Amino acid sequence: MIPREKHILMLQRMMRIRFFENKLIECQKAGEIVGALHTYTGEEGVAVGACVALNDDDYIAGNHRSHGHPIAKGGDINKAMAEIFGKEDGYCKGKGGSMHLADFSIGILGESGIVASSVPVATGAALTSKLQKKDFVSLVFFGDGASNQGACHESMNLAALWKLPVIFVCENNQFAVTTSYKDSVSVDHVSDRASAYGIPGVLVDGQDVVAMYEATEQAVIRARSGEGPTLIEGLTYRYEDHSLGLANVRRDGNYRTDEELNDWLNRDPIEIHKKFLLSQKFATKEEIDKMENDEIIAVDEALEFARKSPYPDAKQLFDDLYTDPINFA
Amino acid sequence: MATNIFLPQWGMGMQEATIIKWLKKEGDAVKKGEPLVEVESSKVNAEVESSVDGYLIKISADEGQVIKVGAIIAYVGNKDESIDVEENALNEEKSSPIENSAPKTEKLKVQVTPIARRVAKELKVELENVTGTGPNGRITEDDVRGYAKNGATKEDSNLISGMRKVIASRMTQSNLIPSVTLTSKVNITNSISFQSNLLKEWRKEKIRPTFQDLIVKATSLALIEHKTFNSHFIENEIIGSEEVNIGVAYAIKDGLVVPVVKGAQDKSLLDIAKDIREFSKKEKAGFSQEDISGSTFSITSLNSTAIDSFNPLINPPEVAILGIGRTSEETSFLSGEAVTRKICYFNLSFDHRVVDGFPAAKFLESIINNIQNPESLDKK
Amino acid sequence: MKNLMQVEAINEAIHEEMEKDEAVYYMGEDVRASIYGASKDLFNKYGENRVLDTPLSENGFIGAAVGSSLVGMRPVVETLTSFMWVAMDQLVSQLAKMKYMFGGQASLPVTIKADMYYNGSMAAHHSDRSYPFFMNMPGIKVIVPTFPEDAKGLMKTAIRDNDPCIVFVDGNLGGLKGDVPENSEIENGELLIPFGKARVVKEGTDCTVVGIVNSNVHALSASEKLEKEGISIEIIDPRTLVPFDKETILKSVEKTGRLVVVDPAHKVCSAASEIISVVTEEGFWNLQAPPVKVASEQVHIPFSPALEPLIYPTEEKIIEAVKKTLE
Repeated sequence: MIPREKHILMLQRMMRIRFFENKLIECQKAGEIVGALHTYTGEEGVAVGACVALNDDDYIAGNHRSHGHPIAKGGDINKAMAEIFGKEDGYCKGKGGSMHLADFSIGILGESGIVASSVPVATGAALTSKLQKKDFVSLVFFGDGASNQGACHESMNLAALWKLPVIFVCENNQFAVTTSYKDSVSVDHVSDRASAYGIPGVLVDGQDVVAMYEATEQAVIRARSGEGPTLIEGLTYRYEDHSLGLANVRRDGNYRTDEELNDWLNRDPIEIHKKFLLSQKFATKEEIDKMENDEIIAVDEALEFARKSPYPDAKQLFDDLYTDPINFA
Repeated sequence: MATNIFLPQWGMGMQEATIIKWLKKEGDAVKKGEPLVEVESSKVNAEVESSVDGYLIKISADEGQVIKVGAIIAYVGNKDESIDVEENALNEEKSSPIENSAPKTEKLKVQVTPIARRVAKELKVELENVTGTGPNGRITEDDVRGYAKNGATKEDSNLISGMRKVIASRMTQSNLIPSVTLTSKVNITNSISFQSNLLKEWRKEKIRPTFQDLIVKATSLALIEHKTFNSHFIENEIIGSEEVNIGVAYAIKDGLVVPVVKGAQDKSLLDIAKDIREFSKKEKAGFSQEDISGSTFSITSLNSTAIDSFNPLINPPEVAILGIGRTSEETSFLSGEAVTRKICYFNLSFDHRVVDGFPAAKFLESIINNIQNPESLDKK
Repeated sequence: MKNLMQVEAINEAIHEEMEKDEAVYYMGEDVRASIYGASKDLFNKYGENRVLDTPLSENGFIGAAVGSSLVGMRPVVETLTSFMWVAMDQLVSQLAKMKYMFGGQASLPVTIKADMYYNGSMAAHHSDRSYPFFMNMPGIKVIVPTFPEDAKGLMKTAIRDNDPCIVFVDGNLGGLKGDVPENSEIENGELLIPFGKARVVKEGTDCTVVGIVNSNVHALSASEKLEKEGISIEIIDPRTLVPFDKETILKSVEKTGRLVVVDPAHKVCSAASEIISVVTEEGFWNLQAPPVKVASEQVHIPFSPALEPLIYPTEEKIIEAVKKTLE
């Protein structure tokens, strides 16, 4: 049984991601932020269900679609927003930006702009848990596109071989930029590949945050007991294009239809979970409205924080490259 | 729009000059024609004038710096005007008269090792004076140190570079001329006596006659007759001159200048002597470009030294030069009687592309004849 | 003082560091069997939890080393330079960039022992000398030991360093013998050689010869021959390329006025290129002659024993280069 407060927490975090991303879309359209922006709207159920099933001292790592994971893990949206604005008070002092949010203090080992590149890293964190006989697990998010990278296969083999406490979470949002996973993955489901490594492969409805939580919980139990990794595939959909602005790029035809998008919009993870909470009487309509209002305010405050934070000083350009600075001048 | 002040080209052969002293500073008001800066070049201390009324808004050449002819050295414009020096530097390239009109001279590219350059700067050695012993004649550190050790440079060598460079370049050019030097031992006993006689005569003019005065006059007379030697040879063309302008090489501190006795064909011996005395006065103040340009023939004298005979180098585009050695005494027997004579070697170098040996010999004979009959010098 | 081969000195360094710090573990292909010699007796002594034989998945296990270092381990990874190409994503996108990209949050005490087996008829796929690639990548420290003492001391320093270090070990030097001090002979009881400090291998007056890895051995034999002709060279081993001790080299060039850099990497954008660039930029006014680069020819390593030796720097090429600077 999932405790009530976890159910509430999951709704709250999904809302936070949604409002955070929508705010960024506004800022991007207004030209206030620069660089690439890969939004997570539509996929909230996957990251939130997975992260809420973890302990605070467990680790996660992610990818370029990077804002949802740290928020799901409980990251500070002020620092996240400031980082996306390239400001000094950002998570990475403005050096990482949108694709590289990280908060080592709460187990967020960082997002990676190279797809699948975080998979070996998370596997390595799990290796530490095993070698040091610790109890923590690590969990890595990657997409259906990344599942075709060698790094994924090498890591799954290694983790299975060494029985490492790592959970591989494939967020199958169905498209690698514009290429459908059906045109790039040789099996019906990414999770089918688990059998090749002798590990469990679980296909989950990613729009159902509770289902994601439950699948992850099982994988965590397995990992902590030393039985090794699990591959979870959360079937989901991104509401926006691969990155904002891509819709404006002249391209040949549409890779997905309005009809398809509408079908998925009708299965919105936040709405599904709201209905679930109401039906289970975990929350009233008023409580949910209040929560929603609070999250909107929190995101507005994060935006204010980011806007007010100074840009990093030129003196910081060479900081943090090495522990002891090396002068290349 | 600011007006560019360029380094002018004063006379042929001037390619660069050293900035000596700025007479105006940035921000000063200047009038058209007002001197802005003292510049040393081609044996001249000259002043560059402002070509417009306005304010000196930017100086772009430092004192001591060697500047190419046609380069921008300053900008004159409105009081608050600023100037984009980089943009103007491009224009400067285009407008450089050196690039457009001056004859192209092959510049010898000499390799110099970096350390040799550095040491040369430290020891104030002009690298063009150093002979390289490395591969391809590369100048090495040892070459520079060796040159410096032999005392070949002076502390202030960089300041006289303008003059030294001009001399170096002129003499290098000169050395390319296929020249022949004719030498004749001349009995000048008569002229020395004549010089003594003149002494009393010129006292009221406060001028002491010199042997050089006589030589210049004697040469001037010879040049009227032998016009080929009173000419310039430029690009295979002999350009004769009605004016007899005799350059008289003049040793000064750190180098030599060749001031010119202008219109010598119309001048008496005394007039010529007066001209030459003026040169001595100007040595300190500096010669004007006017003083030193336009010579059609040159005379160089080592009369006051211990040199008997030498091989003078032509001052191009002139076609010949007369070199005078020291005066010495010689005893010979004339009809069984010992006679002491004053003698002096006359050396005439001439451009064999222009004239041949026989006419040159005739020309020299003419000079000798004039000097040995000094009375004629005073009459004409 | 003891006389050790380079490979023994490195093995000793790893033993000492694993003994000292439980966070240090050793991983790579066939390391338990110690087929390259450096991991001899590690498995017997430290067991399966600290000496890991990996699948043939360099990108996977180097990435795992990276991840494990983020949360408390100090991995030492053994691989061959030629196999690092398949792990470039983890080496570059993660190992090199993580610390900076995350605003200093990551600590990456990873040591990669990268063996370079070249000049042994192994053809192009197994003869790489890839340190210049990593000099070009900020975030990595590039260690290039030559002599056994330095190999041991630099290896120990690398394992203790909190930043990513790649120790490029020249396979031709594995058997090179040299004196290595006993720990009891050293003041702090341990042989730790600081990064960014070059070794003056031999003092001389006429020409500075900077050698990378095996080149120092060639430079020493060249030196003996040149000595007979009255030419005295100063040999300098930078020991680490990042950080780089330019002061020692600039000082030497100030004395000799001449520079030859010998580097077994391909000559275009080699370590030699960088060193010559530094000296021409910063030591230009001390140069008596143009610096000379003696590096490998810009072509792949051919298999045939008739062709391969033509590629690399040799004693003869060094002698010729030194003489060229003295013309």
